Amino acid sequence: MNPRRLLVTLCVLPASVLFGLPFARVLISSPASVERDAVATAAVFFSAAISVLAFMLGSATLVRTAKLLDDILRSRSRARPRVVRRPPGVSLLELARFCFSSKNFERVLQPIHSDFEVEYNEALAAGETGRAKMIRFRFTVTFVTNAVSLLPLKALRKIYDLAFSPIRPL
Amino acid sequence: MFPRIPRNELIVLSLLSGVRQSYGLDLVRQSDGALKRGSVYVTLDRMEDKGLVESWLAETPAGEQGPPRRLYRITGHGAQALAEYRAALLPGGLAFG
Repeated sequence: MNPRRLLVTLCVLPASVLFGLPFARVLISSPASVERDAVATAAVFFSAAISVLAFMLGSATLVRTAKLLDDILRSRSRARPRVVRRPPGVSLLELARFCFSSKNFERVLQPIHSDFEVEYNEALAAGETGRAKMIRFRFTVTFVTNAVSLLPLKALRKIYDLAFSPIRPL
Repeated sequence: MFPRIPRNELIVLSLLSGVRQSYGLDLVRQSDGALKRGSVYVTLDRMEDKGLVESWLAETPAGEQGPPRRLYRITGHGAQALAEYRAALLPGGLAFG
């Protein structure tokens, strides 16, 4: 049986019982007579009407709820939610743009990243994810090595010497 | 006077003299392992400071995908330095500087 139909039936049955109970009580308490037959006829009529109404309202609501639940369950069962991610290396590149002069950035660091992007995309397009990871690792090492080599180490050394060298008498 | 050109710079000049323009990764691939990815752009930067090569940022052509590439070509000074080096190299068979 369709689970949605089962849910609708389970909802409609208690509703019809609930609305039919007052009539049933009248039927049981009253003695056999024409009036009792009239009440019994009315009870059947109203119970049927209420059942149809409850069925219509309940089914509409339940079908909608079941569909919503179905959508939620299906979306959760997917392997991974779709998330837009930044391409690899962009954070390093932005940090380098901030730290280095535009000449060093444009001539050395940006071309390294461009080459990495080309190679990385080629590897991914070929379905070689292992090679792509290797290229990414190599890019990080190359980028950091070049960035360190571009640092003004001479100036830092001079500052260090000035700060920590013993004071010599003139 | 014998022009002293470092080995990597000489390889770059030799490769660029044979083509109209090229980019770093292409030079690395053409050099058969002589140039490294990690050092080629520092070398090219130094050569640009010396005036041996010139570079410009080329936008990606329409219909193609990828980041903008920095293209390099040999300058007149670079071509002259290479020619002088080769001329000096011919009689004695000197190694790279």
